[in-house]
Amino acid sequence: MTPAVCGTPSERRSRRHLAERELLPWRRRSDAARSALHPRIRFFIGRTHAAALLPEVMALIEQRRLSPEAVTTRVVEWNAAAAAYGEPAIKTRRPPNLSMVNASSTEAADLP
Amino acid sequence: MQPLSGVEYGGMLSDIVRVPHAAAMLAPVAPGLDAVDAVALGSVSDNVLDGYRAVAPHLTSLPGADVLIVCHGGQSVPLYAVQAALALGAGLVDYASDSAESLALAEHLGARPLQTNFEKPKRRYPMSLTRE
Repeated sequence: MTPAVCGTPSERRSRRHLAERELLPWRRRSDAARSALHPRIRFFIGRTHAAALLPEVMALIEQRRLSPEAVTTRVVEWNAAAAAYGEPAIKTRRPPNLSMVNASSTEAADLP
Repeated sequence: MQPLSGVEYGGMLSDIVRVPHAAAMLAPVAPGLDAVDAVALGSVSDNVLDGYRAVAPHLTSLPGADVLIVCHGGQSVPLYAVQAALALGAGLVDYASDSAESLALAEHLGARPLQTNFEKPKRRYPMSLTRE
């Protein structure tokens, strides 16, 4: 296992929990040492650092290499969002609103 | 629905939300993106990033590698992972799921769909390792 564990208290607890059950070496090891322990399986776990990765993803979207809207399966008006939220859909979004593109920071906070 | 419906700072169903430390927490929408793109960006700070980070660092280590994505339960993150894997130069992207809708969308995005019938338990368990 090579979990991407960060340093928050809950993540340290999770790491200790696994280590106590011999599911994970407590101290960090080099990649070579990990591979020697588990040569065929590498398991990654962790939380996404949104602020760190956002520029990479936004660049792909601007280059049209990533299209989040393609995963949308349902479009509902904003005033129907509360009812639609509990209904099945891979991804639900609101209809496009041209004023949102150049919205002020206050208006942009309205994005779902 | 609390806090999603809006207590404290407001949430995704609120008409107005308060954003502490807004200068760091908000990111501008690039001027080149149109209105449809802008609406779809609502998931970028969450599910899209989750899909991206599931494949991006590993495709950096193994450029052009084939990727298997297994989807059972929540479907958007694995579908975003399909997009990210293909955008980052993965070889073959296989997508295994028991959802016909999810398989069709994955194929449309460029993955090879693999129909999989996950056997679901007929009873509930106090502990589970799958996301339902």
